[in-house]
Amino acid sequence: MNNKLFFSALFSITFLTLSCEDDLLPVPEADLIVVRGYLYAGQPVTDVILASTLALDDESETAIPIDSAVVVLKRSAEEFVLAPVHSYDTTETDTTFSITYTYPNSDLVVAEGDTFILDINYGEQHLTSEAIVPAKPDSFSSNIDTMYVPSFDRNRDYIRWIFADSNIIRLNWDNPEDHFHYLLMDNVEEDPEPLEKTLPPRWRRFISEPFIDTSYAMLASTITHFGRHDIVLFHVQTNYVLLYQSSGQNSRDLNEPYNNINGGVGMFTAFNSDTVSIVLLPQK
Amino acid sequence: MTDRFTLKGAWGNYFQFINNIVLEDVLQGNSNFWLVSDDNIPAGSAEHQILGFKYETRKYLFEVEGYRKYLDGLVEYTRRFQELADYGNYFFFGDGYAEGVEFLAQKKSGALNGWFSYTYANVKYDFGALAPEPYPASHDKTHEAKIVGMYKWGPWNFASTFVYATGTPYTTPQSRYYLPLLNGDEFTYIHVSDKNEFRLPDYHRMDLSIFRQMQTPDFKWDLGLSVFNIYNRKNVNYREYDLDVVPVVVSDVMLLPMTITLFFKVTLK
Repeated sequence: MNNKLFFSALFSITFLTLSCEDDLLPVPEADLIVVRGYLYAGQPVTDVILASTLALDDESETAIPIDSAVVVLKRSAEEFVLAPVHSYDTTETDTTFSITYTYPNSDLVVAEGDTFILDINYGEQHLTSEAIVPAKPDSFSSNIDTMYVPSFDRNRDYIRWIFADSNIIRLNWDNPEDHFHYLLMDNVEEDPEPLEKTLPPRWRRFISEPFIDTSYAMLASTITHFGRHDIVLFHVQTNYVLLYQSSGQNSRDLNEPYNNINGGVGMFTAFNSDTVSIVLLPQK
Repeated sequence: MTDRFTLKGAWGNYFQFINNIVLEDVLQGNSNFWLVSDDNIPAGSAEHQILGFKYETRKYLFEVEGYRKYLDGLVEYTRRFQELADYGNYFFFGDGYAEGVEFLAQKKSGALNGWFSYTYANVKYDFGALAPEPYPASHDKTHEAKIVGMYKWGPWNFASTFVYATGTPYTTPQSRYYLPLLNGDEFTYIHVSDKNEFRLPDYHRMDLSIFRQMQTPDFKWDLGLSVFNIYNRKNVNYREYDLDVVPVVVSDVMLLPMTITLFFKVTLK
């Protein structure tokens, strides 16, 4: 009798397990929010972008923007609700659609030392992050404010000119605490004339990587057009530097970049900046 | 405590100077390697606390044992969080604990004998750089049960084994995202789940065997047939991902399917 019971139990278990094969989802889904939120001291809040992650089998080459999240910037007891702004960037071949969360009123001034909490609610997801506005770069200056550019008959004359010591723009600032900075140079003219017409058109903008220093020697080769150029020195927080340094993923290592968004991925940080200008004029 | 009832307990502090290091590979399954401890790789240590009792008669044995082990000097090798590594960009140090209860019931004699064992276990590792909270170790099996039965019928021996275990934890690539930098560069990233956030399907299988002994004046003959994983359960060992193609190809690498073995042994007397 005991034997019969034993074998009955054993075979019952066998047939029960036969009928309950587990199905494994191909890849468990993760529907996260990707945040890019940048605040600039003294400027309106216009650079908060939210997008969703894509499934691994999704072939899209652009992220899907999110426009229905509740995005609030908090500074101590103050709360600033950001609103989504839709924009279209149309070129000859393509139209790019983007949604940026901005603060529509004028009562928010991002100032040095402010601590902001970014609070995002989207469906059941709740994301938070914190950023402190850094100090303005100290004593930022340039040794040149106007450059006169001769006309170039030959390419090699242009090459010689851009590498001449006298045409190096030397930028200086104080940095006793070894903060990270990065440089942005932008040609602010509407339709500037290129310095060298025989060369292929190039960017009118230069952005350096974050670095620790008190000076930067900018070769004239960085400048490609006539007109006024704003050179902006940004003081950046360490979290952006960590993101920059960890950017680029090895497909074997699957090393994700530095992320300071609780409940999501991405970066929320603040910058402070100072600007000098340089004007390039044709030599007469 | 009595002839049949035994209460047992143990405490111990153990050190191991050859480290079994987990090599994390999200795409092709984890593996292990060994390294001798040195100034950079800490020695592993564990404090064991064990308490149990046993009730044993001539025919039966019942045993229950609870344990808790505090583990220190755990080492994991991964290339996912290089800037946070404790040593050499890839080595991470952590601690953890293993706790559980084991139950054993055995019939030791008679034509029918065998045992049933069950373990409830919880093994958590704490590597602050890999996960903000302690996570289940890669070998953690919450439930593990085994039934073994042997039956002797004349010259014939029948044996059956059934094994069940909770699926082991694993980490998986989950999604893709784009992140633009200030200089206009936009990088694509694969987002990986929390450490060991998911579990493989439960493991189970049944094995059967029939075995007969025969004797002649000069030889002893053993003849048998065994079937491993008789119902051909597709137990998953680990998952592989090919992220270089779209859509991503995911393959489950299986453990041994149904395997039939016929054996024949002749022994001189």
